[in-house]
Amino acid sequence: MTDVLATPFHARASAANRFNRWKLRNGWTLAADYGSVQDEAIAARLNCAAADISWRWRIAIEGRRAEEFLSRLVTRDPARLAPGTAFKALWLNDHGGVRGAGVIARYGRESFRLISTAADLCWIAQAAALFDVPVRDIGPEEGGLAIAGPYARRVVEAAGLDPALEPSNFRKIFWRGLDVTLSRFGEHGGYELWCKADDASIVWDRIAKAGAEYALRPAGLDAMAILDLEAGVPRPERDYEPARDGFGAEPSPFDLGLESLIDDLHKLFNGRAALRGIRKTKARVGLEFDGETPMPHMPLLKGTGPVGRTWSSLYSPSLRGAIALAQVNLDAAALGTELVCGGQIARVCALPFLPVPDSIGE
Amino acid sequence: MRGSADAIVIGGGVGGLVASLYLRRAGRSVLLLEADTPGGVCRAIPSTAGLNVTGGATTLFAMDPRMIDELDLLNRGLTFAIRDMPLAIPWPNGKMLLLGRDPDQAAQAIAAYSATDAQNYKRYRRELFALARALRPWWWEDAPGPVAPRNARALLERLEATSAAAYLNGWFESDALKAALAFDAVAPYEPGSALALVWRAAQEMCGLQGALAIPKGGPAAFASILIALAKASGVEIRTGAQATRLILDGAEVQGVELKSGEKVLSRCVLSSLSRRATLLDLAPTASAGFAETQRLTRSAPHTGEAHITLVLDAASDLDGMPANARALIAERLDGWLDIDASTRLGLLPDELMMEVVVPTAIEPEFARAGQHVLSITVRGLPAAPEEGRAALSKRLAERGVSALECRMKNLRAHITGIHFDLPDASTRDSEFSVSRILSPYRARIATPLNGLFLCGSAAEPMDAVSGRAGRLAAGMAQRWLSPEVSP
Repeated sequence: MTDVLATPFHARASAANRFNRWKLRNGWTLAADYGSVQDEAIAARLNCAAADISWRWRIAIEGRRAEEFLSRLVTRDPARLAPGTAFKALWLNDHGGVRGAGVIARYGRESFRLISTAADLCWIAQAAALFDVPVRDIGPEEGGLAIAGPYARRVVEAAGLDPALEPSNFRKIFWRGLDVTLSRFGEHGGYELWCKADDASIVWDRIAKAGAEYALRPAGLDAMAILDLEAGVPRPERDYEPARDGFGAEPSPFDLGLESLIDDLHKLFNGRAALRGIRKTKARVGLEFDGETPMPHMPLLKGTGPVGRTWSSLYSPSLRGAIALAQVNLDAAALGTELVCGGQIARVCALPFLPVPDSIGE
Repeated sequence: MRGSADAIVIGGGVGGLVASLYLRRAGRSVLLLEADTPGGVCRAIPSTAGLNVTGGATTLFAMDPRMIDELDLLNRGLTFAIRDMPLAIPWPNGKMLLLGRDPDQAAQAIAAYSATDAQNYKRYRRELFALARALRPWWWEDAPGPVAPRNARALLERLEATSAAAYLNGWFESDALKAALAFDAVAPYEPGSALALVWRAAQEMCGLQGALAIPKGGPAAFASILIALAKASGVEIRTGAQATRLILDGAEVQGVELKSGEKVLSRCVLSSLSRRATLLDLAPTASAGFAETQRLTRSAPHTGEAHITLVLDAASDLDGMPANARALIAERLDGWLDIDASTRLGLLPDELMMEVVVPTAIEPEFARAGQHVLSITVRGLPAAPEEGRAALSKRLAERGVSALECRMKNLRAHITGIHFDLPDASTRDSEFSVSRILSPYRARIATPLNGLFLCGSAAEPMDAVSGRAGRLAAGMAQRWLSPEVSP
């Protein structure tokens, strides 16, 4: 993508971005932080924080054969989804390599949305064409605001929205003149609020106003990356290189530790037959460090033998230490195993590093 | 809904019949579904009663010797009218160059036209045949990969990326010789098509490497032996039964639905159709995998071949061509380039590449007394003719006869009947693909769907009436059906 895009919240974000620090994600300009990464990450753990998530790749899949197509595309069966519900799933290439991971949400009988952190339009649109299902990128049409933290529910309530919503569900709401969708897709607890691009500033203002009482603060990309890593979720392109052709068997969903996203009862999806022949050889683990934050993608040694690599790594202000996601051989994946990474000791620990904060008021 | 069979075979061509016979020998119940009448391209055309005309070519060059041996076909009536047909190449000066099996004699014959070519021909043949022998275990049987002897490995690597045209250009200077030898490569300007020449040389007929033979009674007689054998061994053959859909459970085959709406259940289905037709037309959308489906959609062939049978009331053959020879009429090697350009546009190329055989000269039984048959195979025709298939057939027959008339005087006056067969190329896989000729047999026969195997000529390294894919597919199907593999 060559264009640098401004998200629908850009006007408000640039007013709040006091140090004028920006980053690019999927072609969108987003605040790296609004003052302090650590404060924002801790606010999202202890109070509440609002983050612009309009950069996520979102497509609408609509048509008579949309369900049939999605059923073939992803590793769980969308026929089991009722309107207003969603699940997380993978999509694989012909030989079982992971091409992407995302949330599939059912908007209606023949209408679905797919939300992912990394775009894969070419593969999905070409496959959809085989089923005569149109695929539309709705990124520019809609803005998304995540409200994370224990007080997220209170903020949503104070803003005049009914917060009663099960995880993985969503609801369309007519919110004092605006058509919005309130969802709970995220791994960090909290809510996501999706609105038309034109309404974004009003939505930001309403949430900021409702959140003032709970010390809601905007959180930038860097703070959200910390939350992501603390949740132990591997992300395509950040942690692993997704399969970019139609036939490679790498990376396998088992080695990424994503086998829980494959429904054993879902018998026919792309790559299913190939998965039969793939064995799990690696595990996804968390690593804790006593010393400095290592560089990402560092080799890991057990004794003197290489056993794997770290993925992304950063300093977690909530844990007060450096953490990393890593992919290691199965014999090095036991909890407490000590590995050597760039001259310092790393201990294998359970994922997620931190659980989703309890929602206050639920 | 009706009963089930251990295995269902779609298509009663040679591949399908051989697969059924092997599965039946292994004790499996087999249902063979044939949309028309069994025999495939070897089927005798009913409208030409007494003429013994088949849908495909009259000559066979790739029959599987192990299949002939194991099915004991020689004791069941299979005999050959001719075991090895020399190659006749009409030379631009009006003469005819004759290349027999003996390389020395062939070189002598070539020497009359070009001393360099004569010298090179022997070396060319030696190189080609030696590599072909080394690659046979891999094309024929269960060898894990193309195991070439150390000295041939470099040659194999080179040929994988060399077109037949470039390879022949490296050996010979006479255009007529190059153009004729390129005929067997099918698509001589495709990269890697030099391997098609090697594959052709690796075939064996009646114990002779790279030979061309005609069974007694023509290919139809061969097919009817297989049909009789299948019926006798208990294969249930249903004619007029067109399979329209595969019934799947997940990625596993469960049976076949017929055009009549009837469903037949089976854990194992063998298809003689092409990979494209099987996976795109019979299986549910994209069940072969998104990338594979797109690859198959893109790889539709743009050329096809036609078989024309001319019925004559007087013996007639090309000037100077011995009765038992096979004439290849292809004047220029560059003609193949024009063919590539024209067929992509759906146009009939200016120059026709033709193989002419006179089966009645070899065996009079091919026709009624007093009748003579000229069997012509034309390669390099547009798969999707712009003018439509009917118009193309008409123009092609006219052009073919005109082209032959230069060499056969009064041909037109003797024609009493023309039979025309322009197979629908849309159901074929690509005419030549390096990946297909280089892939081990498992990759050609197995499909992304469990329990579905290909057994027809599309599962061979190149399209040919062979039976080898049928035999190998039956072995793979048998392993799939045996209890230790069953889930």
